[in-house]
Amino acid sequence: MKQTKNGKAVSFNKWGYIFLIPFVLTYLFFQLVPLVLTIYYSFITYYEDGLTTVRSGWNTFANYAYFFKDTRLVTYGLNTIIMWIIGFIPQILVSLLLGAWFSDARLRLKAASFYKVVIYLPNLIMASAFSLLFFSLLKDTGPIHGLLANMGIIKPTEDLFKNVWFARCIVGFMNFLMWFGNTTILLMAGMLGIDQSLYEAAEVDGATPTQVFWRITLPLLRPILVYVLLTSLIGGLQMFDVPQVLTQGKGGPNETTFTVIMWLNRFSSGDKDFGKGGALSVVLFIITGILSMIVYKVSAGKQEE
Amino acid sequence: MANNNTVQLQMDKEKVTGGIRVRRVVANVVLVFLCVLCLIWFYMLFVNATLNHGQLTSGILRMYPGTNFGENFRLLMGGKQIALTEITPEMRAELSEADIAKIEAKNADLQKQIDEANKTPFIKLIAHSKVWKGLLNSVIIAVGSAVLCTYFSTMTAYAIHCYNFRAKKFIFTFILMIMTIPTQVTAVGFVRLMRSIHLHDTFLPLIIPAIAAPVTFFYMKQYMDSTLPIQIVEAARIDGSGEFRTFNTIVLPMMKPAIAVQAIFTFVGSWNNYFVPSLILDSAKNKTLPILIWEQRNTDWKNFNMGTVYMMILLSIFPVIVVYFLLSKYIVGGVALGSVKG
Amino acid sequence: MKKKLLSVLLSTAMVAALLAGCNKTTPTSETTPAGSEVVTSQVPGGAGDVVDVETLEDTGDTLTIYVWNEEWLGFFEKYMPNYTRDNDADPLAGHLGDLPVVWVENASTDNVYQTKLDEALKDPNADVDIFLVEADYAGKYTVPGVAKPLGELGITDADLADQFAYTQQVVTTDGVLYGSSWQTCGAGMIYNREIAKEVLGTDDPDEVQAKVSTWEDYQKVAADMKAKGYLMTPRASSTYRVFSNNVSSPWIKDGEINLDPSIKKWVDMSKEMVEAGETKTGDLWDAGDTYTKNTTFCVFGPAWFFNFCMGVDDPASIAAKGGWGLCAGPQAHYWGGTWVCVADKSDNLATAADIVKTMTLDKDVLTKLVENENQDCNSKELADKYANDATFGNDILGGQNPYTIFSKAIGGIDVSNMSQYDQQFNETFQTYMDDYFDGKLTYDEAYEKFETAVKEKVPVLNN
Repeated sequence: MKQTKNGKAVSFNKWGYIFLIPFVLTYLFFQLVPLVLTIYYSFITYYEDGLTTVRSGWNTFANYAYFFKDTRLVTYGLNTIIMWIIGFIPQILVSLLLGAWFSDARLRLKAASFYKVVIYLPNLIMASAFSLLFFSLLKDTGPIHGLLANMGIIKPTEDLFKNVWFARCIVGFMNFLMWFGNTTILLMAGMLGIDQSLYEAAEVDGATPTQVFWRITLPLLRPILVYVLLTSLIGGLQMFDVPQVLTQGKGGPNETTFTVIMWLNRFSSGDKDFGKGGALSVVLFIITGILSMIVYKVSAGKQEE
Repeated sequence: MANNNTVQLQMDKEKVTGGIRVRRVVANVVLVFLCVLCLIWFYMLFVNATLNHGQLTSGILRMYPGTNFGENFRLLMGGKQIALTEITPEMRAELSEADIAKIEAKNADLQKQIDEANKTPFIKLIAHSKVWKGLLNSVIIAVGSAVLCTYFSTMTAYAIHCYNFRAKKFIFTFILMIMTIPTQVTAVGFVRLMRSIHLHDTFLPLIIPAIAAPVTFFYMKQYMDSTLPIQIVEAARIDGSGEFRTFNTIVLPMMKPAIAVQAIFTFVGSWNNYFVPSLILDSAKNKTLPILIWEQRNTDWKNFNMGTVYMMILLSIFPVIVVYFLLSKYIVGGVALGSVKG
Repeated sequence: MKKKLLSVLLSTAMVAALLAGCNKTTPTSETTPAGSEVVTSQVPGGAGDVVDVETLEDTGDTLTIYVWNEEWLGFFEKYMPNYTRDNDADPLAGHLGDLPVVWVENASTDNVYQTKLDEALKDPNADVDIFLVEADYAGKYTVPGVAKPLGELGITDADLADQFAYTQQVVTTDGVLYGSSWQTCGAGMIYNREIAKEVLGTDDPDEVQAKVSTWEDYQKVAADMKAKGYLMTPRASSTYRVFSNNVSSPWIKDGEINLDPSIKKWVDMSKEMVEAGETKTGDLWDAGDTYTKNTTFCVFGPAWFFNFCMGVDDPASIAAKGGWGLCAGPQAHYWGGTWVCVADKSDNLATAADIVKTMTLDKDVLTKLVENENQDCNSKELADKYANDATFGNDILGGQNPYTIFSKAIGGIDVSNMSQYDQQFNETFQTYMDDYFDGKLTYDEAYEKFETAVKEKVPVLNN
């Protein structure tokens, strides 16, 4: 009897491997080769000069040493993280608030479906087109600038984008605007999966909406929240398009909105430096990996219990 | 005792109702504000598509639609943009008669070109436009990616969620690791690889890799953690359902909200992607909408018109919105989840 | 998040591109030409040893042409004898006589045009016969083994004598000429006539020119403009191109970065002007209300500026009222242009040579390009003719004939000190100098940051 049971479990579990085949094969074939090459390049001297390619052997971590000989990695890394946090905090708070409102049966928002659909829409526009429209409102010749100048809040000659914290906050705000709908949808999809009878039971027991949210919704949403936090962190560390467009690729003022990927972009556009670009990618990968592991362990660890 | 309880409940309800009204107003105000913040960009895109080139490049932002919508559409469809030289009274005063005659002759020539261009019926112009082929290509790639990505990511997540096998922990960690790799790093290497195995100028390199999407996998896995009890699978086994059938007929339907969400994200990502497709696709018949947008943007100054660029962006957003609305019913909660919980 | 990851690379281009309204199309943006290390300075490289045309052969079964838009294709269809499109709906396939012609079109956004062209040039199995280049990066392709010297295509110095010198310097390497252009893109100072009348007392091009004939005079005018509440130029970078076109030494000298006195002069002048409030820092393409309101005295630009970004089809614009004037400005410069090169590995050399001769050197074709297509043609003889033709008056300039100014200016352009790295150098330099002008960095700090950044964009300096 025991034997059979074990045998059966094993035969079920081989399906785990079978179901993994498409992912693993596709990954090995399409992604692993370029990835391994990138890592390999990070250890050699390999760059383009016009149409000629210069390539020579192992250079004893020279590519890596390049990124640690000054403090720019820290500076650009902090820029990136600061702008990510400026966007992420309102993003997660607003998403949770909206999630709570939408899932609160007693609130009965008449236009809920409309709201739910609309908040995701900014994500449909190409990031670059979106940043462009945003920029045209705020630039020193744009209407919002004019309005603020007329109200005496800023000097007419002042360019808002030359203020460090304004520039960073604008990048953060744009990220918020583009992604809070996305996050809300993820959370709502998670909420839909929660057993409705739990809510009904809570209502019968006279629980307040706040209690329902903290005691039922949030704990059951934890895996989705972990997902949101992790992917947002990873996406945040790879922040590029919004600051790139808003500052015309300059990361100004004085490189305070210059991100790590904007730095990487220097090595990979025009004449490419595969060696240094590869090394910076690997460094970024390691940093992202470590931060993600910490976040994952801290947030998902408790959930196992 | 029972009576007491009922009274208590009623009192609570009344208290709550007063509070709810205030909360409802607050919620509606905040939501309306957020919606305006989200929709204004679409309005701006629309307004820009109704303006002419000069208005768009003048540096003044316009908030009201112009009159050039039809003209921009005509130009986008391949209509010609030819302007005649206007002969002003000042010119008549300044120039010699021979010169005026020369300008008139030039105008007559241009008029001929315009007439020639107008001979092609507008319908034929529309039918011949490369926009439609680009639209079709984009749809094929985006739908293909979305279907493969969601189906196989769910399958991968299911493998990790439901089974115990030796390499499970390793594979899960590995996928989480590759999720943190900056995607732009491998793009150029990927394109070279595709060229070397002669897959360039086909849709395959733009669709197939969607099968291995770590981010989507991770979402599916997390979603299963919170909503897919293992007992359901076990119940199916007792009913004699095969593993593959269980996945397709029981697990997939339960994952509908998650699949809808990720299908939208994948579709949109693929739809707006320019860089890799532009390097993979060579021939005109294979080009996607973002590539056409950039070609529109790259056109020479005589035909260059920001109005048509915005018209093109607007046209290309339209199908995404349609797809989004189609899938949104799964997200906004219109779909009953059926006999999920047991 | 997925979308974010995917779209990252897309946007580099949008920046440059959509932001401004005006940007890289046929005419190149911002930066300057190439033609690395030209040996002769004033006299452009000759055609080299001329090969007898009879020895050229066509062995390939298709002629493949790489382009980034359909402008030249349009000229080709109209003026190349015996060329027909195969099918009305598809401009990218045709026949030249019996020879099938395939056009490969890739937008230059995100460097896609160059990336694909490079691949095709390197790949022994790929076919490239003719490709077009812009001045910004021409030097990358005008080298032995990539492009064919014109001399080897049977094109003689006599055939080329009527071209303007600068158009040849752009595609000359070590004294050998590798390409040819049908057009010139001379540029000048485009000024607001009403403001000129108010502040300078005249809007006559010659009189305005007399007041800005040197940079010292130009700065005096700027001070007068400021006193009346006008900006001189919309951005400090408006004048950069003029200075960078007039350098006397290249950016890289003996493997070291070298700052030319002309560029330093731009820095000093711009710093003074920004601090005096006579111009502003910021994106060159964002000219604000310059083209619609009387706020700014002048911009520096070529003929394609008129239709491209001055808003002529907006009735409210200054251009629509013919309110602009044109003069040469303190120094001559050019902006933009397209060059035709024949690939070294072309297997249809006879046809390719014929195309270069017909489409860029034939006087009849050049005449048609001027009269029907609004091109400034690359022929001293024709340029003189049109400079004196009153019917070429331009509505935007209130009837002034721009060719009179442009054709005079381009004769004096000397771009022999340009290199293939100029685009990177010029863009990066302006980025960091803006921080200096704004007072966020000292000059030395800004220069050091520029050096570090530009080395990362030009890896040969960083390895």
